[in-house]
Amino acid sequence: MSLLTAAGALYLRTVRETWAGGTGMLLPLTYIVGGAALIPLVAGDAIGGVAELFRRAGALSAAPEGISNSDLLGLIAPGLLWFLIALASLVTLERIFQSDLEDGALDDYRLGPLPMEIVAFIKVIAVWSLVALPALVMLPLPGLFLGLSPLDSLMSLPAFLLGSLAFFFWGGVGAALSASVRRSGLLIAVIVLPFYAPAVIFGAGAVAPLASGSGLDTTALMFLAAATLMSAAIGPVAAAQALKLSAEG
Amino acid sequence: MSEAMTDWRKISLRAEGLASLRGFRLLFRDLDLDAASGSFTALRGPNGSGKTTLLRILAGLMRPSMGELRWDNTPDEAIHLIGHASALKPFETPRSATDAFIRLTGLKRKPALTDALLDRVGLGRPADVPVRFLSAGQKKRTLLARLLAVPRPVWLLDEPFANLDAAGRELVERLISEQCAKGGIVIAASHDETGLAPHTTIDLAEPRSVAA
Repeated sequence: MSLLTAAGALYLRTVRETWAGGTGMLLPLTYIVGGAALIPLVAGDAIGGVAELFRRAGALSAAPEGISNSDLLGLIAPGLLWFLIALASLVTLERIFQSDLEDGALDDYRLGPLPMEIVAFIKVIAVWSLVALPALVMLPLPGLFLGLSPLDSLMSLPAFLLGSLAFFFWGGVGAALSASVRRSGLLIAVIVLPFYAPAVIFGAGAVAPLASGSGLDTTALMFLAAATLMSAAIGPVAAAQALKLSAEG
Repeated sequence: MSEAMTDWRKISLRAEGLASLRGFRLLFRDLDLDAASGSFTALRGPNGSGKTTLLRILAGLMRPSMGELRWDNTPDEAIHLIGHASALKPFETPRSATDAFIRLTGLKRKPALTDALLDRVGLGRPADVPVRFLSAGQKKRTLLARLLAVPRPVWLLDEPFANLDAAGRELVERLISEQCAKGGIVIAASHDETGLAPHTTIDLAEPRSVAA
């Protein structure tokens, strides 16, 4: 099937370009691991202090006395991971469409057989699979830094996979809108962060029960999947329109 | 293939009253352009007179500020646009870039065909050298290979002779006349006088400012 050939070629070309970009692939991974390594250092005592305040006020009276700061950190670890993944996705999105616009490849794609919506979809998936997937597979490592057991990290993987896809589809819209702007990272952040909210909210809800030793919250996971599907349906269409607009400029 | 060529005999372009306003500069207006199958149109005009913009409008990548444009009897994906930007990725080689272009069009690549094409455009030797090591002329030749790799009836060429040596310019002239003989339409923006006589010449004047 000829359209499949074209789609495969576009996927491979995007993967090669992202790979050839060098730092692109390792950046989010480094970002997440580095952030997770720093958080216990800066927040450990603060978390203990907050817990002490609540304890004095009687709010934590039910909690056993021997609970440690790292246990408390583990309670919020899944949320912190969401936070880190959301920010890490932002730093990788800047170049998704920018180089194609600059070197004229985008014109080739528009004169070719694939609709721009499909082009945007494939490019986002290609970058996600090269950049986000490895970082997520390595998630038990930063999870460990935050006091989350490797087993819990692996169990929460489906939620993070879905959520990161939503981040990339929305991020693709921001990247397309700002493709003709130099240093567009800031613009992308401002444009897309509000759209991250549903995925972050349902995603955090889905993994929250892990801290208390139970499995994923499947209801929240379903809502997360719905949010991701919505981003997959709307994101590429909006990105395609933005790319056509930027070619007018 | 032969069927495609008979179809090419019916294609035509009709553009009426085209105008392009970029910011406060009127690049051109009241521009009429007719091109029939087998014709070669030359766009001339000083730098900044809107040649590239006109080509992008004809390719459907931009909308004209005014006027209408119609391609008749053209198949899907009828247009090659060879522009200023190289549309080549630094890590690609002439061979991989050509193969990628063939596959991006949805066609199957044939190694022997690619070899023959690259020989034809004079890239037999540097076929596997990454684009970032190629000269401007060799990059241009890499783009010319696409014109042959994927047959499309309409060629919109932006400065096709730029950066090319004498042999390269001769090659471009030969490619253009072959394309016209096949029934294609070639529209080229160029400063250079060539050995090839265009059927029509469109002169774009110095742009006028419309700011008050």
